[in-house]
Amino acid sequence: MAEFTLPAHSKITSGDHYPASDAASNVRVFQIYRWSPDDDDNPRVDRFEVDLDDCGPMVLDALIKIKSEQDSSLTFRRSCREGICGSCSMNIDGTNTLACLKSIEDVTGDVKIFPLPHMPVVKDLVPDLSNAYRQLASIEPWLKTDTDAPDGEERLQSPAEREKLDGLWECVLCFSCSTACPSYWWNSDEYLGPAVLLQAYRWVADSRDDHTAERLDVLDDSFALYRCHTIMNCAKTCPKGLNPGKAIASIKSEIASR
Amino acid sequence: MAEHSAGIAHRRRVPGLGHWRWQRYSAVIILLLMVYFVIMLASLGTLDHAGATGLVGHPANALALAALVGIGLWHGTLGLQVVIEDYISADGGRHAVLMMVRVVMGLIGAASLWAIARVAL
Repeated sequence: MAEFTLPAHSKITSGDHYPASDAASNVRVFQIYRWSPDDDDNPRVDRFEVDLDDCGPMVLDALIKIKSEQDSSLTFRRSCREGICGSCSMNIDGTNTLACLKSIEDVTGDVKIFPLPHMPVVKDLVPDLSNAYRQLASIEPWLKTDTDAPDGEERLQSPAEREKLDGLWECVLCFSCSTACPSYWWNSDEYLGPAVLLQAYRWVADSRDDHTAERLDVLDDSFALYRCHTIMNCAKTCPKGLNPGKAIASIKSEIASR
Repeated sequence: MAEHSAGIAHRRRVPGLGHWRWQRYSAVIILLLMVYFVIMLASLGTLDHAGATGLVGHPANALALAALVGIGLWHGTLGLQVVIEDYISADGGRHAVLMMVRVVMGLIGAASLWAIARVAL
């Protein structure tokens, strides 16, 4: 049954304060969740003062500046810094998003940064995405065909067929949507979640794929698919402006119309 | 049933289309029956006891009431199933609670249908 108290060492405490230099003219406070598996300390929230006049415009710029200048042990994932790799997904100002796409200017007051919700934490802002990746692998996100491609040529699609993939291929698998979904919070061991289901529909909708029926058979499960109750947090939080809820509805529609 | 491969290694696949579809079908049927029910309820106001039992006991009205009770409870059971599956884990007694809810709903349905039948027959 439900647990009504937090386990030991899980209550978040107040952490350290890192002041800006005296020369700083435009100071903003970043409250950042910290936790390390290397000690038995509770998680804490550290406060970093950052001079925005000497910092890039995005939250990721501030994180990199903090790591470079104030606390090199601050741990977070990042790579492309332009919303393509999906690495720097985290909860900023109460919303899951990509730190590289979130402008500091868009946050009022202190900038509060936590890891993606309801995932095990590896360290600081790094969540353990092993389960999500396992679920992604389970839907076999690659083209499955029964015939060989035309000799020396690509498998062709009409513009209309290609258009069906718009709004699906752009997903960068940051899992902001899945970790914003209450159904995924409660049943992530069985519910595939919006990110993986959007990927599943990307292959269901692909005219070149020959295994649509088999894919739909696998998806027709009371937990894998039908835990979606169209709460739509997924679409609201997606930093790429995609709509996983619509993709899930399309899968349900495809299954129902067979 | 096929062994499930969509990230669920520990159990077999349970198709969800039927539940999803009947939730919606039953909702639409209830909506229509509720219109009928409200009109019947409004017409009870001016009747005495004999008139009221006569109206409820009319075969068409009794049948509609029985359908409303049966489909309404079925819809409720489907809805409760969603809540239970959402919030109670398989290890936490999900199946036992589900069975309990179905039995209780069944008893409520049987008692309601018996009451309608007593008035109608």
